[in-house]
Amino acid sequence: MMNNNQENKTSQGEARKGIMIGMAAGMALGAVIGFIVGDISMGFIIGMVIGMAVGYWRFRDTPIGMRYPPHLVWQLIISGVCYLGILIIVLYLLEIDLDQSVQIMIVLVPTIPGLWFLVTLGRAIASLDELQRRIQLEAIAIGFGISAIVALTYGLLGMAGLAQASWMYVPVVMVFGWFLGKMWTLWRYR
Amino acid sequence: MKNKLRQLRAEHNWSQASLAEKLDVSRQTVNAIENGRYDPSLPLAFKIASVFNLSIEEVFEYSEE
Repeated sequence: MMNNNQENKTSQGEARKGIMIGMAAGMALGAVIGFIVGDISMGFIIGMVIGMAVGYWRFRDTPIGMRYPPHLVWQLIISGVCYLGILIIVLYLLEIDLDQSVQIMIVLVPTIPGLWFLVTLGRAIASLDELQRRIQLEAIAIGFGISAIVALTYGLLGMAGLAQASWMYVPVVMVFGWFLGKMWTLWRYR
Repeated sequence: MKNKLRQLRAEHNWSQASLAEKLDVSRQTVNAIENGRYDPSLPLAFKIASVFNLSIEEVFEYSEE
């Protein structure tokens, strides 16, 4: 029978492995998808969503209370995939010469699954126990800070004529910042 | 905040997982409280004391850091 230290290391280890493997798989898959789609950043975003799903299956062995309820995880995955799918269609439609009023309506369509994702994420975080909620919210705060600093720095570099990047890199930076924040807070409350 | 959680758990022969189940929290939460890395909220502190049939003061000891 495992003692508490071994038991703890096992579930924490499984949690970290799940997240890291998921993100790594997502990034690798994203590079392939990006090559197919023709946009690496879009590929990374799609890959990360798939990678998180892969990571969840590894994470599944950890006790309830450390992870989101399965039905909310599925809603997050479905809303995320819907958002990305609609986004790809919108980007394709924007290349067609449509009336500006129609273009404006088209670009607002992805906000619907986006809002669904946000509401589900809020419910998922609220379902966790108090320490897990704190870990998630601290991770989001750290990710927000990292995203803001990277975006501002990159904007300044652009004004100096040194950098010019697509807006699509913004969500990638935000997710990566959240990932770093999550690793930090998991270690802090080990 | 110091606490006697580990000692009380050992007296009852409970694992962290079983205590977490009784408290309806994750095992990481129990571990973090035992190691002093996390101070529980008041409702959780009351719940912990109730599980051991003790008062909060008998489980937790406030210390100024």
